[in-house]
Amino acid sequence: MEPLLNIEDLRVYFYRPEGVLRAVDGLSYKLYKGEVLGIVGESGSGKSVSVLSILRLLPANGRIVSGSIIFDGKNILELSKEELRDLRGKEIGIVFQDPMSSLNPVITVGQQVMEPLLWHNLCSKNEAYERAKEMLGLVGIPLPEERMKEYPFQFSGGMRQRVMIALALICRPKLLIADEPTTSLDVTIQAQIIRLLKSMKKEFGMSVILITHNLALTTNFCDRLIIMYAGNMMETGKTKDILSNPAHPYTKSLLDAVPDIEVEKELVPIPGSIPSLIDPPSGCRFHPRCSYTMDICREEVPPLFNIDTDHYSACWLHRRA
Amino acid sequence: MKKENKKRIGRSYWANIWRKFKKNKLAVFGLVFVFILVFLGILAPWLAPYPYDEVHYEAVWTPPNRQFWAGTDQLGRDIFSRLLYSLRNAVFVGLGAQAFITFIGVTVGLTAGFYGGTMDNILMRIVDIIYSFPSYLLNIILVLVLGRGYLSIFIAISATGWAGMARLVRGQTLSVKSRDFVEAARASGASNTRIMFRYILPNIMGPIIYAIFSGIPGVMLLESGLSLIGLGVRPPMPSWGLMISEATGQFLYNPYMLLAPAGMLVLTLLSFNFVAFGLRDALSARE
Repeated sequence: MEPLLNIEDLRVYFYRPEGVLRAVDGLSYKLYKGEVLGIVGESGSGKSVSVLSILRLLPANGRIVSGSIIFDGKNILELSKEELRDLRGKEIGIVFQDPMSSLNPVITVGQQVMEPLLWHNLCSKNEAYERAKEMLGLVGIPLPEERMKEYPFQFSGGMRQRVMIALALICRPKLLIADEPTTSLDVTIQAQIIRLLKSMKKEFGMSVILITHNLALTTNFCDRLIIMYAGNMMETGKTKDILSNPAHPYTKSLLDAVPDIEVEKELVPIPGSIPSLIDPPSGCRFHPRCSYTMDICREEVPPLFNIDTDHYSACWLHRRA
Repeated sequence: MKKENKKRIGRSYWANIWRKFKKNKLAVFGLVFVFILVFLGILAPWLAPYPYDEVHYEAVWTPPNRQFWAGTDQLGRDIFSRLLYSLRNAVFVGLGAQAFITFIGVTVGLTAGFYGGTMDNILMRIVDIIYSFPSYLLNIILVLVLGRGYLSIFIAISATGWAGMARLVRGQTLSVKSRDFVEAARASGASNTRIMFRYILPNIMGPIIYAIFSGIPGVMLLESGLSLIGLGVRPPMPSWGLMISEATGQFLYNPYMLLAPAGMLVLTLLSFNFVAFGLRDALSARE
């Protein structure tokens, strides 16, 4: 089967006065139609940058240095400005982290949800209104018709994130990117938003990339996971395989750091902090914080070792001597 | 529930600002006064009891009385009528030149701030050059070159006045440009033009409106200043500056000749400033 999204050897560098920051350094993955992929990692691991590259929305000093991004048969890195605009919002929708600041404060919510339809000339104004109303109802906004006339500041954080989801889905995209959609919300709302994403996935059948630093959010939603660290992929596999049988030391320590209300356990923080990506550690980038470090870890970058069906881990521990 | 909902609808960004603006009595008073002044100015030809250039040799230097409400000047012209015509000139120059300034300033500032890079550099260096000239001197030179008259005053004042507006708009554009909703709009396929006019401009309207209102008195003052040294509107068309300059020699004998135009000028400038201050306070108080 042809993948919807095929990223190969993606390298995204930021050119800063103090040096070149390698935010994403050689990332490859595939996403199939209807699949939900979770990308998990600490802040600064390059997970957001990797998906912003799909929309070519990098800041001015960020550049995609090498690699290819094929979406639905199109090479995104070769698209013209107009073709890119056609892609954004229409084929790929994105939900950002902070719903409080992602809506234009001076335009009514209804207008904002309608606009992508009009920008992409998908339907008439009247039809856009109807579709926006329907979509707002679908994402769980009560009295959508009345609330469409209101301004963003009249909405709570959770409601705004629902609006953002409606906005991202209004053109029925083939791919929805959710970039830490719950990070700035209350814990109770977080679960609601994930549940909403799940039901939207069921309703529209699009592929989803969920970016998060919270492994717990991925359990019931993601089919497959990618664990990222310092711009590299550390481990990838089916969600249940990774959660029940983590192979990479980094994944293990991530799981040790997740609180579990049912089991009384001590939370183990990962020692140290994420390394500078301007001058990253040699060999495996996790080696300075890893408790299993061997000599080879300092010298050579580990390849992805096959652990199981569809389960790979980039750690020298798996090398069969 | 239903009722509560109805009440909340329509409390837009601008409705909020208006609500805060209304609380400031001085600002509301200023706004009412501004409206009255603008209307008086526009209707001057119909409201003035005498033509501005009609001389009454039998009644030169008459203090205010029932026939001449604000007295007459050295040629026996009705000062009240001349005040109204001056107001008309001030309003036309004030609003007209400010409109030019706003148009040029917003266009340049928005373009420079939004596109950045070389475009920003070129436009802002032009702004720096204009800023570095003593603008009053430049105004005088321009009027001298272009000849006296409405149009040259417009051009002279606009040519030097837009730099400040451009800087303000550029700064505001830069700060709004980096906000998340602009990125979000781009991610849902908005073009540059749409982002500029639908996402950035409406969000910086507050400071722009404040700048417009606080700039109008300055423009009026400039016009009076130019008239004072004989470079404003062409006599016998009156202007406050011209009337003040004619009255200074008479101040000790006929103080009303000076007090009337000076008083009008002060009142007009103050009312515009009060509106500007009210706007500033209403705009800076965020939700």
